[in-house]
Amino acid sequence: MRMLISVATAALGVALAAAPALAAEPGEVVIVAPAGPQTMDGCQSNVSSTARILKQNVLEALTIVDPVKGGAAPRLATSWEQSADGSWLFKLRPGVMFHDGTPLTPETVVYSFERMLDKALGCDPFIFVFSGVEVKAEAVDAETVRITTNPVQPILPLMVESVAIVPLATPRNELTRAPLGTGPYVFTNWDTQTSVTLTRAPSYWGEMPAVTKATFIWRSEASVRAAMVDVGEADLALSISEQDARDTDLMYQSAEMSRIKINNDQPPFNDVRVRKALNYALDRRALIGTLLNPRITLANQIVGPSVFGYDPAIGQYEYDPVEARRLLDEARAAGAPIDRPIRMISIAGSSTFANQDEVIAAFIAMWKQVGLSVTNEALEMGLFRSSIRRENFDPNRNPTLVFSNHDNTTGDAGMSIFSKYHSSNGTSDLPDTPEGIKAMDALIESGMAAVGDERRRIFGEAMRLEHDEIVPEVWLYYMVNIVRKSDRINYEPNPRTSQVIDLATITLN
Amino acid sequence: MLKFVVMRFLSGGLSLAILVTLIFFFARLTGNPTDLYVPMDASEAVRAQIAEQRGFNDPVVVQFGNFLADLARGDLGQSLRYARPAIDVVADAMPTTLTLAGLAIPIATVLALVIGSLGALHPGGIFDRIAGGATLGAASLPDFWLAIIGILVFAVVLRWLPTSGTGTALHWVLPVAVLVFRPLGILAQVVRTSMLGVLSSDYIRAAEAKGLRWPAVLVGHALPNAVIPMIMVVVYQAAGILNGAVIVEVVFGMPGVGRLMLDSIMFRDFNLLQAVVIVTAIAIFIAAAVADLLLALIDPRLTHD
Amino acid sequence: MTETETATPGLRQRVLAGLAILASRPGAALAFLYLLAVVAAAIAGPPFFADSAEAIDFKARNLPPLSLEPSWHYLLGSDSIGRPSLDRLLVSARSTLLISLVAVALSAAAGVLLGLVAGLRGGFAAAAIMRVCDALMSFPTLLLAILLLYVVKSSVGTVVLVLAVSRLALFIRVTRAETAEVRGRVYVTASRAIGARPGWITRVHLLPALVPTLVTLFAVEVAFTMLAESSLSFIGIGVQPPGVSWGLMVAQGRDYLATQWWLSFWPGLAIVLTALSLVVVANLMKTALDPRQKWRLQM
Repeated sequence: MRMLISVATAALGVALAAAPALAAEPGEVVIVAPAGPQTMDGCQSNVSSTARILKQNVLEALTIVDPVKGGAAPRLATSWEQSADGSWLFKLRPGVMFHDGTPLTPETVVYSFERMLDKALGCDPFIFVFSGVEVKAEAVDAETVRITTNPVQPILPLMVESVAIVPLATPRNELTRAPLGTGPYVFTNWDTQTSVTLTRAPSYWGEMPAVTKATFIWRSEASVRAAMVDVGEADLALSISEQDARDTDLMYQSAEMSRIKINNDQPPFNDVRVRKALNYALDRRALIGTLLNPRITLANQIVGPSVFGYDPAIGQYEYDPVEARRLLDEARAAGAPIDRPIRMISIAGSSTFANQDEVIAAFIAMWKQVGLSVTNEALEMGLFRSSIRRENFDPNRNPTLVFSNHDNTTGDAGMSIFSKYHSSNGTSDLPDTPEGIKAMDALIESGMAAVGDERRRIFGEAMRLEHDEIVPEVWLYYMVNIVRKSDRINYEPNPRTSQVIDLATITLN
Repeated sequence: MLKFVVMRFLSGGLSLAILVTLIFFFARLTGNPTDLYVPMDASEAVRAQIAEQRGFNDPVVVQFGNFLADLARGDLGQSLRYARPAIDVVADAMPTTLTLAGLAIPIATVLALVIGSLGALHPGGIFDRIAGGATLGAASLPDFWLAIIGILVFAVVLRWLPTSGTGTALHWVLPVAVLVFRPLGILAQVVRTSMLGVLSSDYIRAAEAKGLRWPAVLVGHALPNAVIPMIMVVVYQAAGILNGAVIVEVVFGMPGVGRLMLDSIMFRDFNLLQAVVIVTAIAIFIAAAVADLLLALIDPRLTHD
Repeated sequence: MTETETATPGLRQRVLAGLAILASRPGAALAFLYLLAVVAAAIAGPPFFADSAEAIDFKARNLPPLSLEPSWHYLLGSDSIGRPSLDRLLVSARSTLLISLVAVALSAAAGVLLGLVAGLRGGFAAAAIMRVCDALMSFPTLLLAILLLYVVKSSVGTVVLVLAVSRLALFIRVTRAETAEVRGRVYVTASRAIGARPGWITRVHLLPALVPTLVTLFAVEVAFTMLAESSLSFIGIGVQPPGVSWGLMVAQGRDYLATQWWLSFWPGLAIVLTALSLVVVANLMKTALDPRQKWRLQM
């Protein structure tokens, strides 16, 4: 041991003499994320580890989601309008060049849509956004593209945000590892397990950003990420944990909400009183400022305030153990087996909260107070994902809760409501009766077809029904994320920071 | 001797075949990877389609047949996760782990020989107690704990070393140091124990009685005999260092084989898992074969099986 | 060490002799006492402290060590929901000890048996055992554990099984190597030549030579199994809350190393001390059991 120390010290002395400057060159920033990318294709635009590198930086779409107000804003399309037949016409921005030197034309847009929505590639836009929708893109003239969908999509301008526009040189039938786009940064290098480098595009159509070179790296431990900013190895560290956070760190409301799904396949969870009691029994406010970030807020619907369709009028299940016990007694009197052991499943190793084990322990203790016995079982991701599917529910299993979180990446409540409450999705939680299911499906479908205030009203109505009457889940919190930045840069995080790091918004001191 | 060498290689190939077959079927028991490659919100139709396309729906035996056919052509398949040939991904990761092991194992071995022998000279003496206790204590610390404390102390507080990553020689100091402790603790114990055994055996006592001086006894007579059990343990530790490498590579963000294995299991990237298992197994097999040869040279009785 | 020799001293004399040896070796005595304390905690911890170890108290959260307010339970500090570290440590002693002991015992039993077969019988059985052993050895045990845990449902039993399998190759190899070595000794070859059966050879020649090695190996492996269990927790697939173990506590505390160091320090220290004590006691026993080294204890 002593030997080792002396050897190490000697080695250190030699190495220190040749220690390189850790500080980056001016104009260069290093961003450290929790996980590295799996692919480098716009195809995987919903995987945050890929998206936060590519989106807005290398790849651009016809529109962008306004990060604060929600809704679509111009990007590669300068304007759009819906024709009488329901199709949409997008006017392309003139003078835009791809990184390979070819110009942005309607043909490239058509090519990008065909590629991204090709079933064979199985890209995220196809799976997430355009699932079950027929899409046809065609060139109208030298600067206009017509996109026809069946059924007609009232929020198509928002949906096309997911389709990155790529040049014809992008391989058609396979994923690329060297993405080409129109963005302010050129993809330069991907060292598969270590880093991705982007450099500023000299011929960008828009305003020239301040950062000249960005390197994305990843470290799994939050404490290591935080330390890297402190010692000058990184300029921006994402997902800093609660206990490491300090006043100078940046906090932001993310688009993510946490919840506990209540599967109603097993009694007593088929009794709405029990589901309400699960909500009333949790003193969610007690954890804020103690276990959880003081700026975290209580959730009461599947989307947060920054998403179109959020309804501020929906109430809260405030902590009320007396009411919880009363509801449980009532249910028990009606024959509900309240004493059955309850199983909660969560994803092993992942943490929705910085101190998830403690949060879960606290919830279980609170449920115990009202007489419900819950145990948590952490499942590995693949197992978790297959066991939350209704088709895999074992008829003899224990009543089951699912600790989960949801991140709305589109800025519109439709995607969240459809995937969480519509019966066509294998993991959604449904009303207790067939009529109820039918009615909810119809309501959601009418909302998906509506626009503007009508859309907002219907989505609000659906989420109010879920909250007040169907109660398929325990609503927990709208999440707050913490990032640490170095003094070298200025950066203002927004609700989409977990998904997209817009390098152009970073300025240097 | 030649027969022994040939047999050793044949049996190694057999072990490898057993391992690969086990891993192949075992990995597929972990479930259909569709759930991991298709977002949770995907519709049923999309899920079915993806599973079909990637061949997840074929009977496992058919998949195994395809795998063997590809293997015969030297093709380990595409990595699902990285969308490139699995063997390329492994080849990229190999140097990092080899460097980690190649630095940690020799350092641990040399330190263990020194500490263990000195301890055995005066069992129960001051040096024996302190050095033995310290090496064992350090070896009994969880390696992720050592790694994070190492970062906090040497990178954050003292600022002598970079926190993590690769690039300069300094980046290797902490990961290698963390990896050294476990084998060092064990090896020092092994050396000390076998030295004690050897030192109390008749011929050493005879050598002592002849009036030979201690260093001569130690280096000339005791050490070679004590090395035999050590070689085997060194090989075992070299194989085991992959365990440590998983943790170290995860914490320090190093692009190595250990992390690759972990990821490939977590993401059900079967082709990648198979490729990485085959490559590392070959590496470990070669190390074990060399050790066996060494042992056989030192102690020919071991060749009789 | 022949049969007649081991049978002579009565139990009482042997205990007294053992105590005398301990008394002359304070280090070993301390190690022995510590292990006794751990065993005591494993037996008495859960019935007395199970409730207080899980009691959530936000007023007593994040207390540093040496806090005697609100009560002595907080002597080693508390975590972010106010659970006292001391009580948690005492309660988790049982599962920690049980998991590693059972895992290593299973592993040793199977490993010694297979190793003896491989060492004594030779032929096809030996070849098959050694090839499987090589295959196990060339796949990192941690990853084997992860793969196993994905196939079978994660539970304490699975963790034990996984840890046992991951230790198996070492026991097989060591047993076989020792067996081969003893088998080659002159007197054993002579025994075989005069027609001694393998069972007799095993009992009379092999076991006395094997036991000291195996005892040490067992002790060291128990300690390292605790670590392996901790590594599983680090990856998120070890013992699952609300289950507790020292390894899990270290893994959970790693997020707080910069702020509440004591959360992972105490369980880590408990593991280190257990490992050290086990090795010290094992070395002593090995010396006592090994006829060639017994004289050292009589000095």
